[in-house]
Amino acid sequence: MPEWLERELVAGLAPVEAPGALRECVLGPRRVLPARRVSVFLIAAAMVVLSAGTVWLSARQPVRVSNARWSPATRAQINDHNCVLCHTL
Amino acid sequence: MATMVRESSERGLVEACKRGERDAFRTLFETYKNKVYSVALRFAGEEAAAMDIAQDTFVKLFSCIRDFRGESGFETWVYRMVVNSCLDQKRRARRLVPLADELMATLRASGDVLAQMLRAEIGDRVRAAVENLSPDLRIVIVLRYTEGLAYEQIAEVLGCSQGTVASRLNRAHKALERRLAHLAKEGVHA
Repeated sequence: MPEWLERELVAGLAPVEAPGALRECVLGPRRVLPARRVSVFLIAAAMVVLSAGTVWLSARQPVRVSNARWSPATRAQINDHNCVLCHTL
Repeated sequence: MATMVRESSERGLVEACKRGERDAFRTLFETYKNKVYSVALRFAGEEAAAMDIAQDTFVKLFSCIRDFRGESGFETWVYRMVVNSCLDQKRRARRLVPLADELMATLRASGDVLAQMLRAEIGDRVRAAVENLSPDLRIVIVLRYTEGLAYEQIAEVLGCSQGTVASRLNRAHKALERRLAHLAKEGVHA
């Protein structure tokens, strides 16, 4: 190996001082976990689930209007009868 | 004599860590932080990845210190941990994409790299050439030139023979000489 290469490798790859942030991360009171990385497959799966959910929701029939939304007159008509079937279930 | 003193104090430190003493962990971290970070940075080539590797190494080191039986030197054991973290990170980096915060860190790092290039272009070219080596060759170069380890210790860290270390170093030197030949031609080293 030529001398210049050895000299450059020693100079270019010289040891460096660890940043203070490393101490915070490893020994600090609130230890930071290693930076999160996420698999591309997981991202793809989440996107598929979200798209499927969107399609499913948009294809659903509109939900029936609840009792509370009916007009007072209609609500009275429904509640004020004596149908055994309705009031015992 | 100094080595013996260092080894015995290191043994005491390791024993204290095994007992779970916080101060011992702190001392161990202060002793090895620069070595661990240097190997990580020279292997990965970027600060964000080096921080990941160094953190990962210390987390593993603290959690597995009970498994250290003293069959090899403690320093060798630490180097082995860093090397494994470096190679793990390399494997993960192939399959994973960075999240937004890491992407921002990478973008910020690009600015630093540019400034570094202006300050020390030659050093950057050397480091870039080293980064292009295969992980097997790169780790041998980093252990040799960043940490100044002997062939015997590199072999112990990597779990291979000294002959394999010599052969990898020879291949790495040839590849680097080929890639950096323009530096010699430009008369940088005259």
